[in-house]
Amino acid sequence: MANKVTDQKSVLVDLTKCVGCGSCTVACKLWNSQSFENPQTGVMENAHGTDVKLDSNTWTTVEHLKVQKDGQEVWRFVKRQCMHCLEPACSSVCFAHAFHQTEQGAVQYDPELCVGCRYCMIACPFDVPKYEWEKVMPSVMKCQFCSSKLADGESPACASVCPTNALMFGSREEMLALAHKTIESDNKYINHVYGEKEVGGTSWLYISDVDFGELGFPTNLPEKSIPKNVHGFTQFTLPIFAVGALAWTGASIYAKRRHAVAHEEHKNEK
Amino acid sequence: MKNWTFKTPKERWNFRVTPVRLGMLAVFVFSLVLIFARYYAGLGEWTGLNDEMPWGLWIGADMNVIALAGAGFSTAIITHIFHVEKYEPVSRRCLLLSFIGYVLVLLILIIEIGRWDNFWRPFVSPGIHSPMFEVYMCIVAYMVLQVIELVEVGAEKVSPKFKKKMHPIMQVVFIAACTVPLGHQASLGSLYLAMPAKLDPIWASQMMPWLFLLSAFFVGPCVAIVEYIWTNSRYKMKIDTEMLYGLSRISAVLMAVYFVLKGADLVMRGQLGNVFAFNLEGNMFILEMVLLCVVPIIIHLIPFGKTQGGLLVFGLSGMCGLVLTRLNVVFTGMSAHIGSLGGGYFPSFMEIVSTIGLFCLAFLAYLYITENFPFFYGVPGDSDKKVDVETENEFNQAIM
Amino acid sequence: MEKHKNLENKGMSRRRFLSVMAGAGVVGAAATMTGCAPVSDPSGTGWLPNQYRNASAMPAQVKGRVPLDPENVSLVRNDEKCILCGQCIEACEKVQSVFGYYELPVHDDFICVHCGQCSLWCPTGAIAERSAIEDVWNAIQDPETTVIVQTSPATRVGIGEEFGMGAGAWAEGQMVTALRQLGFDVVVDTNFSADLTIMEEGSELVERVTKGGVLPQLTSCCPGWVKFVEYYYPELIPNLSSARSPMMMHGSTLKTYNAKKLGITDPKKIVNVAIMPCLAKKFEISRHQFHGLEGGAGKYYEDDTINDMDYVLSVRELANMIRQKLGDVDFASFEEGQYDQIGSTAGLIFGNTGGVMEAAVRSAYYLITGNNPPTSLYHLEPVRGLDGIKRASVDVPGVGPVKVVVASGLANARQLCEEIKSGKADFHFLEVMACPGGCIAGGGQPRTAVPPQDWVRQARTDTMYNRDAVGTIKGTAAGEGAGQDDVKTMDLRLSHANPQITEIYNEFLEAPLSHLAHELCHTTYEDRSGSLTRKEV
Repeated sequence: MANKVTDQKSVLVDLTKCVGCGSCTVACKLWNSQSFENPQTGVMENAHGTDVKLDSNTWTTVEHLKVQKDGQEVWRFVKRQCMHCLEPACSSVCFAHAFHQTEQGAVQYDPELCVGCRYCMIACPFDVPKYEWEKVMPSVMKCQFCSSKLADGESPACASVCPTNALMFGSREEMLALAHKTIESDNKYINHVYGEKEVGGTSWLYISDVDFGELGFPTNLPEKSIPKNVHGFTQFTLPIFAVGALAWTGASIYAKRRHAVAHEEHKNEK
Repeated sequence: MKNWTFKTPKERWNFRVTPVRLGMLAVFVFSLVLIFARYYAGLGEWTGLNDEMPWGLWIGADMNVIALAGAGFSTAIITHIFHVEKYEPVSRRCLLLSFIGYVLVLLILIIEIGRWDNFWRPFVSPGIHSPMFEVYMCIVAYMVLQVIELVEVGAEKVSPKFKKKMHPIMQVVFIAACTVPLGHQASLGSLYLAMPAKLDPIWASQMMPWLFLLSAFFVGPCVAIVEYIWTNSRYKMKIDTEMLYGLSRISAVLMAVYFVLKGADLVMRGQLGNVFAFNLEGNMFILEMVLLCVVPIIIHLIPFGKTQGGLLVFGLSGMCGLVLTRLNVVFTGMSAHIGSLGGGYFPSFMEIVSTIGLFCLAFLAYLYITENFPFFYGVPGDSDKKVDVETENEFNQAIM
Repeated sequence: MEKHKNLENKGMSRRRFLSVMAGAGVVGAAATMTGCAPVSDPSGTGWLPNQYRNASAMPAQVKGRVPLDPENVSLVRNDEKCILCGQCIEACEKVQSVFGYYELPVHDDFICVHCGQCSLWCPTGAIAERSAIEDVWNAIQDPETTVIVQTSPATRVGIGEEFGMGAGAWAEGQMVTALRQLGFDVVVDTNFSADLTIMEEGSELVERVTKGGVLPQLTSCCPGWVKFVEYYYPELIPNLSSARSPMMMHGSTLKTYNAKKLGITDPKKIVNVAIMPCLAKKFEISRHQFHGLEGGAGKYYEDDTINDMDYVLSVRELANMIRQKLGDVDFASFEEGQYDQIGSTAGLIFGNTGGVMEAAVRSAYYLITGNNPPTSLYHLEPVRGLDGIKRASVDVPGVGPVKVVVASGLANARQLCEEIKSGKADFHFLEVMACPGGCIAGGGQPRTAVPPQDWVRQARTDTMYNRDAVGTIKGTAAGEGAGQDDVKTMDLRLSHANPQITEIYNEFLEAPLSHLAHELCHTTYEDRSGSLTRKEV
C-alpha cells in the first residue's frame, strides 16, 4: 500500500470491434521483451488463436471463439490479460507484499519479494497470474499494465497498437462513461459493462454483444471485492488473540484456584 | 532391572535399528534424491503442479498436518489452561507430535515454495492483509513456544536444575501457546475466503475459518486417543480407557456443535440441495461429515465407545474426517473450477515419494525422541502412570 | 554415546535453523531500510515502433496489422517477426480496399481475398505463404506418381530476381531446366491454358455481346478478384465470366486430355503442381468447385477423390526448392530448357495488367470476324501500363465499338464495381487483376523491393511485352514432339492460332463452350456476402 491510486487509468475493450489480428499480443511481447516460446512445450507459438492460454511468457492473449449469435455461428475475439482490480486479490493475499498498485492503478509485481507460495495464482478471480514452472528460481508472471508507460502518460502497449480502436484508453471515469454511452447508442450491446462492479471493479472494462459467460468470462463473481471478503474474517485476528489470551489466563487462574480449594477440602475431610 | 529404560534414562540412550526403521530411512533417503532433483530442475519438471492447479499434494498435506497437529493445542488447553491433570499423559506426547508436525510442514513448504531463498521476505515486507501472513507468523511464533516447552521436557532428563529455572515463565508460555494457534488454525480456513467464486459453495462460506478452528480443536483428542492406544499397546503400557473416554467426550460434544453449525450454515446459504445433489462434491461432503461427526458421535453414545476398540475407531474416524475436510477444500471443492480452465492435476511420483519420505523422517524422529526423553511417563507426582514394561526383552520385542 | 551426539546435533540444528531465520530477517530488514534491497519492475523495458511511443492524445495513424485466420490456406504469419509497422494494413486497406470495408463485429470469417500483397509489403517477412514445399517434395519422391508442373506466365520474369538477376529478367528456359532437375516429370506452360481461357472467355464475351447477355463481362482468372466480388459485390456474380482461371483449366485438362496423351491410365496417379506468382491460387485450388465430383476431372472420371489441382507453389517457394535441392547455384547460366506444352505470347501477357484484355481483343476479333486482327491490335497501347484504371474502345467490324476497361488493385476495381452497380458503366468487358500491375507483381513473386515498387513492376511488364513483340517462344507439344518452328512468329501472338489449342479442340473439347468444355473449363461462384456486412462507401 505504498502508493495511493490517484489517477486510475482504464482500458475499455469493445469486443464487437475486435477483429482478432493479435496486434496487442505482439505489442505486449515487444514491449516486455518476451519470447514466443511456450514455456511448457518449448514450441514457438503465436499468442492469438483458437487454443491460446496465458503463461509466464504470454501476458495477454486474444482467444478466437466461435459462438452462437442470433442462431448463427460467429467469430468473437476475446483479449485476456490481468484485469487490474481496483482492490486486487493477488495483492491482498500476498504475504510478502510482492504486489502493489501504482498511482495509475496498475497492479505491479515485484519478483524480488516473492516467496513463491502461488497464493496469488489461486486467489485471482480471473486466474491471471502464471508461474515460471520451468525455472529453478521461478517468479509469478502477469500483465503489469505497462506501468512505466502509464506513468509517462502513454497508453499501454497493447491499447496503442489496436487498428480498430477496440481498445480505448483513458481515465476510468471516462471509459465507464464511454462504455455506457456506447451501450445506449446501439442496441446490439448487452447492457453490462464487465469489470464495472465485478469483485469491486477492475481497471479493464469490457462491453460485448455476446453474453460474457459464453466468452469465457467468470460470471459468478461477487460485487464484493476479494480483499473485503477475506477481511470479513481477518478483522477478528487481533480480537481473537486478545480474547483468547484473556480467556485462557482467566480460566487458568480459576481452574488452579478450584484445584487448590478442592485439595484443601480433601485435606480437611481427612 | 525392572523398568530400566525409563527409570534410569540418564544412563541409557536408545537407538534401536529395526528393518522397518531402516526401510523408512531408505524411503527418506530416496526422497532426498528426488527433492534434490526438484531443486536442480525446478517445480515444473518434477511435479504435477501447473498454472491451472498451482496448489497440490504438498499444500494438501500441509493443511492436514497443521490441522492434526492441533492435537498439541487442544490437549494443552485441557491440561495447561483447565488443569485437568488426568489428561497430562497425552498432552505431553501431543506437544511433541504437534511440534514434529510443524517441522514437517516447514520442510514440505521449503520444497513447495518456488523461491525458498526468499522465505524471510514476509518478515521485512509483511503482507499484513494476507491470511497466509497470519498463518506463517503464528506458526513461527507457535514453534518458538513449542521449543521452549520441549526444552523444559528435555531438561527434565538432562538438567532438572534448568527445568526449575524455567518454571516461572512456563505458565505464560502455556497460555501463549494456547492462544497463537487460534490464529493460524482459523486463518487456514480464511485462505479460501479469497476464492468465493471458485470453491464449491458447499464449502465456500464465511464460516470457514471458524469451522476450521473448531474442527482442528476437536480432532486433537482424536489424535491423542489414537496415538495413546497405539503407543501404549506397542510398548505394553497400561491403557487408561476411562481417561480416554473422558477425552472423547470433549471431542464428541464439539463435534455435535460443529455438525449443527455446518448444517445451519448450509441451510442459511441455501446450499442443502447441493449436498444431496449426488455429485462428486455432495457425496464427498456427506462422507466428510459422516466420518468427522456422525460416526464418532454415534460410537461415543453406544457402549462400544467406552472400549479400547471403540475409542480407536472414534479417533480414527475423526482423523479421517478431518483429513477429508481439508482435502475436500483443496481438491474436491476446486476441481470443477480447475476443470473449467481445462486443467487437471495428479501428484507426480516425486511429490508422492517426497511427502512419504518426509513423513517417514517425522515418524523416525518421533520414535527416537520418545524412546529417549520422558514423554511416556514422568509427569511429576503421577507415579502410578509409570510404565509397566516388564523386561528389556519385552521392550525390545515391542519396538517396531 | 555417538548416537546421543547425533541426536543433540539434530536438536541443535533445528534451533540453529530458527536463529538463521531470525538472522536473515534482521539482515533483510536492514537492507530494506538502507535502500539496498533490490526492487525490480518486470514490465516495460522493451521496444515498440516509434509511432506508438506517444501520449494517447496523439494516436498513431498507421497502427496494428491485418487480421489473419490461423487457418488461412494461403498466408501464415510468424508473430515473432512482426514489428507492428502497419504496412500490411496499408496494403490491405488502401491498395486492396478489403480491410476496413466491412462493418464490425465480424461474422464467421476472417475477410481475406488471399492476394498476398501484405506478404510483399511486410518488411520483416513475418507474413508469408503457407508452404506446400514438403508436400511437393513428397509427391516428387513418390515413384508411383507423375508430377506435372505448370508455370504461370509471370513466373519467368520473377524467378530470376531470386537468384541475383535484374528486375524483370527473362528466365523461362532456366526455370524449365531447374524444374526438370528438381524431379518434375512433365513441365507445361500455363500460357497454353491462358490461350484456352481466351478461347472460352472470348467466346463467352462474343456470345454475350452478340446475343445480349449480362454485360459488362468481368474476367475471372484472378482468384483474389473473384473472392472480392463474392464478398462485396455478389450482385455482380452473373457478370463474372464463367470461364475458370487458366490454372484450373489446365488442371482439369491435364488430368483428362493430357493424361490420355501421356498414356497415364490412372488419373489418381497424376499430381498437378502449379508455380504461381500468386497466393490466392493456393486458395483457389481449395475451392470446393474444383474438388471431386464438383470439379472437372473428378466429374469426368466420376471419382470424388480426384481434385483438379493438387498443389500451388509461389515463385518464392520454387526458388527455395531450387536452393534446397541444388544448393547455391548459378541460375542465370542454366541451360534453357523447353516446355512439354507451350502457349502463345498472348497467353504470356496474361501475366501483366491489361494483358488478358489485349489477348482477348486479338482473338475476339478473330472469333467475330473470322479474320486475324489488324496490326494496331497487337499493341493496344491504352490498356498497357501501370495505371490503376485504363479504358479503351476497339472497333470491331460488324459489332461496332467494343468498350473495354482494365483495372489492377482492388481499390480501383471497387470504383468500377460501384460504377457498374450505379448503372453508369458503359463498357462491355472489364479485366481486373487484384494485384497492382497484375500477376507480375503478385503476392507470390520475389520480394525484390519492399514495399513493391513501380520500377520493378515496370521492368517485369516491359520484359513481357518485349517477348510478345519478339514472339519466339519455343517448345514441343506434349506427347507429340511437334515443334513450332513451322508456325509463323506473328501467329504465336494469337491464342487461337496456337496449334495445340486447335489440337485440343479437335481431339477432345470439340468447340469452345461445348458441353465438355463447360465441365472442364468453366465453373460456378458462390455468394459470400453473408460473411460480412459491407460498409457503404
